[in-house]
Amino acid sequence: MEITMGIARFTVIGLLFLTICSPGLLASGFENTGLGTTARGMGGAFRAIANDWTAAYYNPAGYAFSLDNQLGADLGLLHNRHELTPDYWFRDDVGNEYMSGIVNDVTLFNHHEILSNPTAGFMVRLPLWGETVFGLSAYQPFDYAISWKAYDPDAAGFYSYNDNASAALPDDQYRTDLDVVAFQLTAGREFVPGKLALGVGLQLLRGDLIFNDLILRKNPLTGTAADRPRDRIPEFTNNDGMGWGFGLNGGMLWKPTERLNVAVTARLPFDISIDGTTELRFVLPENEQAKDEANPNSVDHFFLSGAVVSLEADMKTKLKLPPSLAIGFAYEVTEKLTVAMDVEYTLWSRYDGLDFTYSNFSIEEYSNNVYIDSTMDFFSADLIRPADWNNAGKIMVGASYDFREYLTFLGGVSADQSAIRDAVEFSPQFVDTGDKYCFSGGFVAHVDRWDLGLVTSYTNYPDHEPGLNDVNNDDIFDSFPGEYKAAVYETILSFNYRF
Amino acid sequence: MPRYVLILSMLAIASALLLALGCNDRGSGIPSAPYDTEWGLHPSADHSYDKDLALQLRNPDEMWSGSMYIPRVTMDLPHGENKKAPVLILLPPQDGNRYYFFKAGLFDLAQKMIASGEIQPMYIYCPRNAHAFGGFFYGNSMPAGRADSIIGSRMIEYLKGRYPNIYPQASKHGIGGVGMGAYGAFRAALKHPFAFASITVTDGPLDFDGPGDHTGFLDLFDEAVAEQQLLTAYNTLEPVFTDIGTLFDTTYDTTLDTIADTIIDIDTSIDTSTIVDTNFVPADTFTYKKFDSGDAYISLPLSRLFIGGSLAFSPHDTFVDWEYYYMGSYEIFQKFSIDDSSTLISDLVHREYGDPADTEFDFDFHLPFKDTAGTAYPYFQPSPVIWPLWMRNNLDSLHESAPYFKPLRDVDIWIATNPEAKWNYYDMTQSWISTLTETFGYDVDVHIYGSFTDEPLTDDAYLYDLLREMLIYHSESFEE
Repeated sequence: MEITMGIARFTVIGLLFLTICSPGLLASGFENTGLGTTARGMGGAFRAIANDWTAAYYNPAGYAFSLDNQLGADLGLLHNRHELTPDYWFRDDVGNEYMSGIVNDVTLFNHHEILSNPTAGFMVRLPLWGETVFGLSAYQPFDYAISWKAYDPDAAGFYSYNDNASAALPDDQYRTDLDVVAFQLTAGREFVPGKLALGVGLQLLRGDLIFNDLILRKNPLTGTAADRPRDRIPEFTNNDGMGWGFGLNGGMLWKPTERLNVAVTARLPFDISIDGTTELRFVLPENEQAKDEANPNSVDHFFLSGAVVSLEADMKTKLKLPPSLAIGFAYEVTEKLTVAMDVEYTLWSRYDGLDFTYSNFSIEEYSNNVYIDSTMDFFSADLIRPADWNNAGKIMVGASYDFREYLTFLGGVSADQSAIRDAVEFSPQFVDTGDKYCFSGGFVAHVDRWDLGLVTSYTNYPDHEPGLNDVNNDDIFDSFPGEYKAAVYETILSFNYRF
Repeated sequence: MPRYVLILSMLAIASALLLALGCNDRGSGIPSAPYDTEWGLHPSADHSYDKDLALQLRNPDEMWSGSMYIPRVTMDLPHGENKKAPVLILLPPQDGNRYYFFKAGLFDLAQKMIASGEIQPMYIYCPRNAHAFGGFFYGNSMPAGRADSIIGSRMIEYLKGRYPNIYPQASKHGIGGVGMGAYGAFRAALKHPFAFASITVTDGPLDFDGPGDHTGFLDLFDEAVAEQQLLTAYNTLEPVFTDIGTLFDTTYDTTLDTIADTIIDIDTSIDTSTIVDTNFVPADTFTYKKFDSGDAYISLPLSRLFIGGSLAFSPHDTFVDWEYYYMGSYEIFQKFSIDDSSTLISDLVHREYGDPADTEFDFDFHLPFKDTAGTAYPYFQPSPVIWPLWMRNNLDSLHESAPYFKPLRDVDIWIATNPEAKWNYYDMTQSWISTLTETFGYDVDVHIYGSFTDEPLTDDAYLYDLLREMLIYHSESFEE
């Protein structure tokens, strides 16, 4: 018992460290692809099996049927290999296209990064409430990370805006780094011995959000100072914040026959209020000739100067997380072969985008700048990124085959409906181009009390070509037009120790 | 034991797959600007001149593209020697693009001559002629843009800013041109005295009415009409006009047609409202709307030349009072137009989008000759209303209206000429040489080049040889 508690303490400290340091992964919308090698190797069809510590995520009721105490961890290594060929042109009221500063007709890549997603947990059978199995785990139910650079006047041939603009540009112009870590206390108990179990997980959710955006804001002036190509001013925002919330995860596991398992699960995450800071950077246009013609003491003169205005402020936003329901089936075809199928339905329609509210601007640097003072409404405008996503279904099918007593092979496939499939607000920050298919396979090696797993997967996305849209008529374009191509490669390594 | 071998093997395979599929860094994909570290030909030395080109036809990005030859010595260490060099601007003829001179061998020529020491290292900038109709004579108007204003000032400023090793002083700046570009070079120099130290040109429309004031373009009106098959019995006493209503579409690729400019230094401006030629007889035989010429009609070079010139020298709207309204939108308050319906070509250059009935942003223009033919050669005579507007843009007129006395007095002038030059360009050039030397008292280095019997002068057959002479002339001028 003492050894067990020592392992538990060590594990808790370790997994807290790992999860706080980790970047992230994806599935539909910004949901995690899952965790655990057995589950991921079977395409995610694991709710009706749920026989290791990752049941905390898939089906807490699975804890009840576990005969061993377990300690486990896994590491997902994921690589988004996406491409975007922008087709970002403005169109004037007579239909002529003109440049925006976005590099058009060139294939752009998301920034190279091998994303890591460590998770860990343990489960122990304690003599409380009649052989209830408890567990503590940390994992990321929601996770997404990607970044792009797409705006570069020099590379775009948009020289007329500001000859020095390219030197003032950040690299991570479009970026999402969203992590929702669940610290979950799980309990599972048999209510009909050997037949029916229920489980519940109480989650403390920590949300970390970095959201960088480029907004081509409408120039607030009129006349020459706002004449094309100065009609849109690039604003780079860097929002960085975190918040805490709660969530519930529950499930039922029923064994109607010796070979058949049936599962029903539900997840209910509550909203997370994110607080943090933001950095805003505006690259103003530069035109010496027009500036010379403007009154030197005018706002027009300042807006033609090519200045880079940087501001900092406090930021608030709310992260609305989607609930989900799922059912699962597992059938033991032979002693060695098990097949499983899960169906999950996630209520993505609840997510309606990100609205960032800014306050407490630090403008000491510009305290004597009357031009910024007089146009502060422009520089301090909140950022609204609407999203009209759809509920999405996912079907997962998988199999495991015990090749030898020391080796189990895994294989699976899933069809995942895109939450953004009909949304016109399509941006590089969430590249979910359409209904996608994931193929996965791997093995788990059993060495004494250890299970060592390795699974790799490939997710194929359809191409997508959204147009340029301003859905809420706020003069900010809510989509990034172009041709999107996407693919995701992922490898998961894991260990599980039974004691 | 075999199970461990198996496990290790599978781990190795999986790791290899992971590395192979996911680990190479593709970068951002954003192309880098090559001129930062490379010398030689930089083909994308483009620049947008808003306001000046805001409403140039078929140029909604207000862009003037060009190619730049960059001498190695001007590049930063370790790529070059970080030395300064003069700059030469070369203007192509009608339909010439940024590669016009490079296709004639300019790159190799410059490389060899700089390497051998025949010429000093110099930047050579080759902007393209305007898109529509092959060019607008580098003139100034709403639809043509303010080309000479750009060439004489903003273009040089842009080049100096982008290539910091260009000598800032005008004594190290030269200009040259071929055909229409020859006219553009002189025009820019006349309107911007002291901007250039040397001019080298070949035959071009350097005197619109030619020697004796009765040739030049005046002899080409008939040819332009015949080129369009409107005058089938060319050279007969009784011209016959064919009905070609379906033969020449009056629309063309207008995706780049755009709305007009405003605050334009309009050389062709006349007092805003009315010019009415009461002696004029309206046309009843055909309309100039059939005098179409887009890119699809590149085989009609004379027609396009006159339309391009008309859009520059005799646009229907000589002044437009407009204001930027909101994103991509302009509001026109008032237009001032030439009131002469007989020479007016309307509904030819227009926008593609929006209500076709809304002609607010359409560009109309006036051809320089009458719309009815006479009975004897030349059948088409200059319009007494419009032709003077062209002549206001003739080089001798520009010289006389220049802001300084003898605006070319500090400029070294070199003119290459050949009797086989097309479109009376030889006569026009001879007339301009005569005017320069005899009327205005300049020294002009005239280079008469002959053509071989088996290789007559057609278009640019001798451009390579001429470029050599031009580069040497500028190089020597820069050293003075």
